[in-house]
Amino acid sequence: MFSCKMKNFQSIVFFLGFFFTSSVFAQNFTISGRVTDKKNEPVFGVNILLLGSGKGAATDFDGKYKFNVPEAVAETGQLRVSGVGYKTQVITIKSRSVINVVLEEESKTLKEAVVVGIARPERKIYSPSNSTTIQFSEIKQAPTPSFTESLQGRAPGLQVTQSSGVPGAATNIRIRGTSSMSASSDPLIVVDGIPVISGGGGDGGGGIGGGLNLGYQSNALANINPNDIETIEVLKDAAACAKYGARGSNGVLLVTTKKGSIGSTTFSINYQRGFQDVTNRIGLLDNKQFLSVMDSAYFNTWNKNPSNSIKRPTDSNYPRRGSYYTFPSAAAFNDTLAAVTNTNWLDKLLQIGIVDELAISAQGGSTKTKYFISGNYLRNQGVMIGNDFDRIGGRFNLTNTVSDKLQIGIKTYVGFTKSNQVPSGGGSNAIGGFGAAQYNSLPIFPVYKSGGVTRGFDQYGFNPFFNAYGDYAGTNIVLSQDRNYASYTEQKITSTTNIFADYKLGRNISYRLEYGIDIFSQINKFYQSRYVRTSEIDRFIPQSSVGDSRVFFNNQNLNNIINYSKNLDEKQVLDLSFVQNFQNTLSFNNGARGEKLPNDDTRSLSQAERALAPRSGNETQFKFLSFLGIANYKLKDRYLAQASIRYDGSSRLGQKNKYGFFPALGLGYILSEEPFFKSINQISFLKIKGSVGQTGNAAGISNFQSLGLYSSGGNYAFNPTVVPRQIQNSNLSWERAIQFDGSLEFGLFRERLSGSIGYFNKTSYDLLLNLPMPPSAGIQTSYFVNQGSLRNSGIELELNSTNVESKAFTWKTNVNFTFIKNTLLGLGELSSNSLGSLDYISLKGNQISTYYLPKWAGVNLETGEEEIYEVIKENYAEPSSPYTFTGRKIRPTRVGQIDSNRISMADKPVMPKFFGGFTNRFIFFKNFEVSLFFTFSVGNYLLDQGQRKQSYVNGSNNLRADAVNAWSQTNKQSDYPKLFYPNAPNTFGTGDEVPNNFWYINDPMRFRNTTRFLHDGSYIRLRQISISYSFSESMCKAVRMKSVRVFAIAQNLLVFTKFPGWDPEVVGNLGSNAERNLQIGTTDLDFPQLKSFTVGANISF
Amino acid sequence: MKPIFSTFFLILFCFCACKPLDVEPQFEIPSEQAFNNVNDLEVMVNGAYQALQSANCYGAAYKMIPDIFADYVTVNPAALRLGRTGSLSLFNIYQRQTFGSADNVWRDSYTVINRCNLVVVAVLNNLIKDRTGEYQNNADRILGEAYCLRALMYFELLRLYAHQYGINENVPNSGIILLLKPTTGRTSQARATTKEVYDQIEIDLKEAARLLPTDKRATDIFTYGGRAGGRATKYAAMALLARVYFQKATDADDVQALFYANAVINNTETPFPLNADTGGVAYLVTSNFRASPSVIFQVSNLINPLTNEANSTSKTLLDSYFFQTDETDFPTIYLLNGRFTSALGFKGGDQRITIGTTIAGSLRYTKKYQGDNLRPAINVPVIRVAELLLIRAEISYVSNRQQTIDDIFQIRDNAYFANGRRGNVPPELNVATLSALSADDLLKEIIKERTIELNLEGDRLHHFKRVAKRYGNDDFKLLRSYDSRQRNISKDLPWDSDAILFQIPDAEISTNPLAVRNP
Repeated sequence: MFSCKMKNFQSIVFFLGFFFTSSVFAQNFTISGRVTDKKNEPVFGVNILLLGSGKGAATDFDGKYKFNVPEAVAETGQLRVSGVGYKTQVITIKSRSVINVVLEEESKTLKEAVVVGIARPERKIYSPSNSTTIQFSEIKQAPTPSFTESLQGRAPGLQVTQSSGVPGAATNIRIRGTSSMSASSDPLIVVDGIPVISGGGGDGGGGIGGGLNLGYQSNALANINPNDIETIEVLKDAAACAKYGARGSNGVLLVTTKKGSIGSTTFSINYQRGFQDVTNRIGLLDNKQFLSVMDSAYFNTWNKNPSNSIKRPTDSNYPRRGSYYTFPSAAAFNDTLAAVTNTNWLDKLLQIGIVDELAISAQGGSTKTKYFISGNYLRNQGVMIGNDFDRIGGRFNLTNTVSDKLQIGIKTYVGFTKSNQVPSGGGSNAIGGFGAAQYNSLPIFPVYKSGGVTRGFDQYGFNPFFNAYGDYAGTNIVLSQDRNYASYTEQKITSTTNIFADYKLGRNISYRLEYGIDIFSQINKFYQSRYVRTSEIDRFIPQSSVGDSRVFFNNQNLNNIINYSKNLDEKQVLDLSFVQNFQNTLSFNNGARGEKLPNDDTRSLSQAERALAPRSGNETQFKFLSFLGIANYKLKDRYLAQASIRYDGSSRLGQKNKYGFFPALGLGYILSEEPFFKSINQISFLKIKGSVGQTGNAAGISNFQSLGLYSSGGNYAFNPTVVPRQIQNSNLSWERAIQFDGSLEFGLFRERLSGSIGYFNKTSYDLLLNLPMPPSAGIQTSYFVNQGSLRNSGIELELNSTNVESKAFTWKTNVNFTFIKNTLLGLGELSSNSLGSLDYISLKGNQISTYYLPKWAGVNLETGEEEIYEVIKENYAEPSSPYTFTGRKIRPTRVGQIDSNRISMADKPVMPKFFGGFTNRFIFFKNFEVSLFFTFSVGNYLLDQGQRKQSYVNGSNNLRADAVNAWSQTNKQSDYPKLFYPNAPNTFGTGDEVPNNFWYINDPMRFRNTTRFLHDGSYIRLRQISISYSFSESMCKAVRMKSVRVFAIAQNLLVFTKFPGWDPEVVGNLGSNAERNLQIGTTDLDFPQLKSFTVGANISF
Repeated sequence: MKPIFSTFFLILFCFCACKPLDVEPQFEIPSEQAFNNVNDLEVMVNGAYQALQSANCYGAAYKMIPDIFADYVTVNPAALRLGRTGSLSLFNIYQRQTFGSADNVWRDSYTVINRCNLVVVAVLNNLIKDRTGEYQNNADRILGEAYCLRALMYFELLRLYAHQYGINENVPNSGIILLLKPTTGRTSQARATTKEVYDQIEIDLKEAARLLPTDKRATDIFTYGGRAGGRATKYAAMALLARVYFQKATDADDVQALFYANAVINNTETPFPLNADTGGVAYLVTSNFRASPSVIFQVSNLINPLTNEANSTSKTLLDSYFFQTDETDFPTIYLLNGRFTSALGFKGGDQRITIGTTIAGSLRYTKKYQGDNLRPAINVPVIRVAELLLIRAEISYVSNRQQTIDDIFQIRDNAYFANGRRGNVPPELNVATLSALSADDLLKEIIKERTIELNLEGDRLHHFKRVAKRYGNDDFKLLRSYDSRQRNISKDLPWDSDAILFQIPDAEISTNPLAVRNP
């Protein structure tokens, strides 16, 4: 069977060879030799490169190499010999055909890292596909829990947004745009060849749940120690993703951890300490302003000033009005106390965060065995009091050359994180935290009791004005941040082990087996004492509660790989790979809650007297099987071709469509290798390349999405029930994308200026679209179909320039830009669809989601009420039709009236027009370096829902500081609408009939977002300034060190933006894939990014 | 080299041969395994009953919505001030376009229908593989239950979303969407005519009456073959048939209604006595798993009765709409207004007001859904024998005047039951007074009695439409509304007004292209 296949391949190769041999080629001069270390041991994997060309070779296990250079440079050409752990040498050929090299060991110096960080990685020269390699060890500078945060602005086409500044919060990663609507748009993340559980809607099968919603998603990748990572490769086009093809529609992040290097053991110690603070603070009303604003709202509502008997709502005589605008009725609270209390709750919540990170590693080895051992400890005391994040992890990577034929290795990592959490977003269910501090914690409330208060739990010293008795909807956040009263912890354990064996079957053929097991376990626990909550069953009775939820993933991968590589003749090289991959991922989760613990010290679920719903449990599994054939062909070192075909199956898809074919083709041409180019000295490297291919996506849908399912529906009168949950969908198929990619890579002026410019066009079709079912179907509310299409097209630009290079001073610049145009091409049966949110709509021809908001018409200067522009109603039925206004402004009196005047706002897009990063590095005397790194994102708009919440009197909430300028009888020229009490009855009597004018006329506005809260979200951020000093080699030697480096880093020092909210860099608190694809523009009191200042040292010996 | 290759291809072969991508759910039942034996049918029909418990079916909506349009209900301002305004839109009929309950009632009712359709198709198409033992008897009974529940849901939907029978009943899209097969995909279907839906309801209920056993419905949990109560029986189907024909309000249908009402009232197999022996008010539902003997069909509203949660909470929302024990912090939304006692002419001693309602401050609440020991009701009656007596009385008030008078008096006698004895009916309400009335006045007495007897049981709106259509009487403009600026301007709506139709949910219109809105 195999030999038969070989014959076929030979004929293909013959055909390809015939095709290409018609090209002209120059005379060649062959150089060969052996590379050894000082002990005369052969060195494997050393790069030998002819400078000024892309030509080169790497040494084999025996340290031997051989390659051709053009006759023209046989005398003057220079070879650059470089290997990790050795000093780089440059050797002039001088027409020698045998050049043996003895390498000198070198500790890993700063310089090499710096150079590698910017230079084009050599091994990609011969690939026609489009990917960007990030030397992670270089960019990973400030301590961050997760490596994903460091990637922002580092590669064209890669867009990374951290959801908030909370340590361990998830990041939203997009490679070349959002390419799905209801399914996942997250890239596949592969660590050392094995796809990992990334959580947050990745290929782990949906977001990793657990516990309460604390306002942000936690990040499964935060468990991996960023210090272990050597490189991260961003695979972008179809050809590059071929190896992971069927899941490559969203791109692939290929993470490679460090290997050992030959030589004596090198120990590295890296210690850093950082100090963090929020980047921005929103001004809120202080006590005097708050009381004055409330008095004014009172007047506006009832047209009279608060009198003595019914004064401010803070007066204890003011009638109780339930959860709306009720203020403490506790006897001790009164106007006098309110007037003298001015609590800044944000100050009570926030502190200076501290991050400590210690990373120790040892690496070394001989030609036979190489190893890398590392340990890492990170402790982040969060900016929110009570919030912390700890990680401890260890890695062991080992490769061993057993014989000439066999190489084996293992890469294993165990990481444990523990985080005490504090609720962060405005929409979170938990008690207290960042949302509460700025929203329903009022400046007139003291933190601690004053004299004479005897109610509730005041023996603990906290004020009793907001408490579990329902006097007031808010929370004393100081109380809820105290772990004695409320705690939320998350613990995660990650263990990944990859083993491989590489066996040379023959001269040109080898077999490689890779097996990886990735275990991820997450436990979330919460405790809420009886001081912060009331019973869910016995209304208004304070009762403690505990909860526990667990998630467990077991992800196994098996790769069988056959590699065939042959120099067909002097000019042609052919590499063939056959890969078979099998992935099997199981996950379990369960959760339980209970209430009524026997006393305040008990926090065990088993002690809870009553179980609370939901008690959940689930077990699910998916499998993935694929076969891949990939051929790389290189002719005369300049004509490149790569063709691949995959056959992939996913267990999630319908019985009829489990498998799909995914071909890809890439072609490249290195013009600078042409003889006629050699004379152009200015151009050292020039390559054009292009690829086309198809990729797939089945991530982010439920594992059993295609099956008809029934499950227990609880009991009916003691009898068990079974109810239908989901209808069968055996046609459910792959979401597919066709990608075109064309780019030009260049190196000018002896690589002083290099870069690339490329165009891509990725059309996703057969989208896995979660369409709503008619309610008359009587079963699930939505149904996945393969319908609709969208396109991401754009231009990627990268420039690396060495502006000045001398012994005393070097200045390097790197800039990357990505312009992406995202277009919805069709929605199948639907003409438009909100897919889950009132504020967004999906319209053909626009971005996949467009803001769909009432257009705010400002304030009626006579009445102080808000107005919106009225839309011609005939168009309302069909949101895709162009909107026209009637020319009238209306004052909405009910929510429906607001909703029926929404318009789509294509001119204020949800996604940015372009984004990127900009780095400048200044190196003085090779050991003092300053670098400035900017990131930017331009053209998107943000909907600040938090601003809406803080712009109305909703009951018991604080407002943003600009509320002092609100419209009033004495301030009629304001553009801030008049404030008034919500839901206000005009009498306090209790009659038989509903009072007249029950709703305040303009009241519904507080329920709906309008363009009043839509702001330009463009920003430029000075993400990082770093200063480092490396001690010279002689100084290091004097203290028996290999290298010593000290550094200081400042992050997020400045941001230039028009956005008036907390932070323009936000993805909101979004759970489902559809939300993360479509509703990324909404921010709701989300925790902002952090600025930090870090100092640290790297020492190796 | 060779062994490695063979291993490799062996693995390859193995993967190809044994369907490596078939993964079976562990926590759910794949559809292939859902219909193996008669027990699977049993749990499936239980699922249909379970959906009936929803707050959007008998958990609250079908009992509450038709009554809060009524003349004797008002909104509690205290509840509104506490922000409990969720159902105010129901009260304000004009808001029907954006009114969430209309969507939820629609969705949850079709959930019951889809579950019934699964059972019906499984039995009719012989999908059950294992048909041994008592299969046929059980399958017949289960099929009958599915027919009965399906018809019940179609009838309830039709009464809210379509006009009274007699208005455009043959016009396309005048009815609701009639689905007789379980949902298997995302499809579109137009609304049937009102008549087509009625025809189907009658077919289903007659088939249910044929198939269902005569066991008395659930006086205690261990009847009905050892299962708990709250299940459809032959008499439940027949009682519903009487109600359905009566609602149509034509002479021909009244004949049918009378036939089925008599069949249930006069049956000796499992009689439904209208008596007050249970103490208190006879028709009050109970929370101890039993029903008043006069209840012909009830929905059991227990959730997880075997856990310790059952006794402290209940799925029903009826209590929060109509009666709350926790008055100060969580007041009842709907109250009985002055008209309930004055205009309807209650007399002292009527247990339906002395025991059936309570006054707190100046506000009157019903205790109908209070249940025992101040706990929320656990069972919700769907139909009880008093309604059949009222149906019979109204149909016969000319043709069989004596029976009408007897039926009305029987209800009154029961209502005035006190101190363990009957015979407390005041003279102005007794047989002699009734006998002296003219036919028209007798009809007014019947209708008044119906209003009192069935108050807050989900009859009022339907009653209003039927009476207006049957007698063409304008006295029955009972509805009031607020204008679009939410001012309290009462506006009576005629019985055939489009404004009192529930609107077909937007979610249906946007996903089912063939569906059309109500005018």
